[in-house]
Amino acid sequence: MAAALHNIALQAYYSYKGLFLWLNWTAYISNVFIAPVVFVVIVTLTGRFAGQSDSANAYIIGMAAYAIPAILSGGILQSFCYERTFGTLSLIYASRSNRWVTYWSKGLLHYPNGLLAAATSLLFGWLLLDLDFSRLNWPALVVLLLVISFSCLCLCLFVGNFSIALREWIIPVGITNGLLLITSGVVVPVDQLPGFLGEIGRVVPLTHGLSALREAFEGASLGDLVDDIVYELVVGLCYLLAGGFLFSLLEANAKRTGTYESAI
Amino acid sequence: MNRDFAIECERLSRIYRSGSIPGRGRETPALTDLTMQVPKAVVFGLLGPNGAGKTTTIRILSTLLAPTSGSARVLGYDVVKQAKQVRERIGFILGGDRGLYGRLTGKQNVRYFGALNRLNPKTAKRRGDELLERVGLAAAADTLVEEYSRGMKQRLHIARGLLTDPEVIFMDEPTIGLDPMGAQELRQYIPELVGQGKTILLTTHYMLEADMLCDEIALIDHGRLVALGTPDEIKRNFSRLTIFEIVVNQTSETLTAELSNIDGVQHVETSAEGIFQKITIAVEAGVDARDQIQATIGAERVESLVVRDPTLEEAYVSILT
Repeated sequence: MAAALHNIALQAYYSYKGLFLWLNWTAYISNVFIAPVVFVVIVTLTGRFAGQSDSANAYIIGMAAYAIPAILSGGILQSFCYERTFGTLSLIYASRSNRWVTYWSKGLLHYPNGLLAAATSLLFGWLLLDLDFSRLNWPALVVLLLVISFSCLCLCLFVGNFSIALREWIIPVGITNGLLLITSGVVVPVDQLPGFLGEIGRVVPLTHGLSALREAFEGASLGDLVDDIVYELVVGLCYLLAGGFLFSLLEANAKRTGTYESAI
Repeated sequence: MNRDFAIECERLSRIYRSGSIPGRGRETPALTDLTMQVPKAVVFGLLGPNGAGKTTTIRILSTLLAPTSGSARVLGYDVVKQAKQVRERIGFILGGDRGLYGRLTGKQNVRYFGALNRLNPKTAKRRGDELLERVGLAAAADTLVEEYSRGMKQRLHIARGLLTDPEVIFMDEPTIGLDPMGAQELRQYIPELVGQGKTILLTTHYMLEADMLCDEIALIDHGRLVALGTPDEIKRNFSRLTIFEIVVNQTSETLTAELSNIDGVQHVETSAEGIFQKITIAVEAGVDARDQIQATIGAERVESLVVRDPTLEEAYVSILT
């Protein structure tokens, strides 16, 4: 058991280090800390300029939560895409590895990056834009950031499969983040979205977690938010399972078509 | 299933299909009805020109690609139905720059592949260190692979491929990129692995290497098996050539053309041999051209004449042209 856990940790660490190309000081600080803060400031100031000064908190919280999938998608999709680009995918397919472990271990060390990006955004929201923490339920904040990071991680792992198939990560990242930005209530409340976009919003990660997060800033307790928390977790689990299944399907398709792995 | 064979292929075929519009797709047969058996604990060479089907064969045998028809077994396990059992017993060594993580060190690459293959971490560490030492990378074990030369990457491929102590090893052009010393070291290591009971399926474009290392050779072209046997059998039975090597003390401008016109002569080559000239003449097997060759050159000019079997390279060219 200890050996198996050690191997999982090694897979997570080495796939993170070997395939996450933003893992250098310049790129890491820019993407995990600076970019989320810039987005929070831009969107919040835009909201204020548009005459919605009372919505500043909602914008800051929305963009802080959105910073989680924004950083996770970039990192995780790189890891999947470069596996194919570097020609190492075939070595995974020919290995004895447990495919589920190999699949989700690709996201494991990205998880803290989502938390860091969100926490930094909230901190600078307070420092620069007067985010009001006075009524915040702190335990709910912690739990919600953990849950949102989990569900967004699962979505990114799911989309990672497409970056293998397409041998491209920038386009899937753009589509994923764009979809979340539009449909999950980051800027526009879900109930004000046109019908089909609202429906999409209900089945993507972030929507329920973000709604709960805003309520936590209004003082709602964990007990009040349990429905949204469970919903967010279930959505994440669904993507995790669907992604793992898709990962196996890709391998089967690679064997059938002979096109996905290219080291050999 | 025969337990004496490490690899068995029975009418193994693979067709690649491209294009997704029905009726507009293109079918490329990469392998057609390949039937061969590889005994245990030998080096088996799979030779052929680029696109002949060598890599496709290795991909099928290493469970990476499903055959379109036919069957293949590795150590008695079906590569399609018992892929897991096959993966537990094979390793493969690639040629080239790909298949490694440039942002990890050599040691980290080996550890990662150990974890992927579910080796006990202590075993992976010990064996990884031993192999890095064995392939001459101990001093560079902590250097990032993106800083490795091509030869160093090739050595790392070898260490990675042997990490799981596989019973069957697929080597796809393993000496590509290695300097002469590195290639020689690997060639010396291969018999050592065979001595440990391992079976090696080797593809290479270096005929001398194949001749030196392989116990048996399969020559494939356009996906079909064209010759199978020991290197000597390939040279004698399949090449349809006899080689005359003649050292002469004097030659003329027209001699090569005159020799080429003799019935049965396929190819004439001249080269300097000290103060003499060496003429190498490939003659169709069964054609008695010796007297005519001597007469054309002139008996007084001939210092020595040797009739020999073709080299593997000469046989290879003869069979494939």
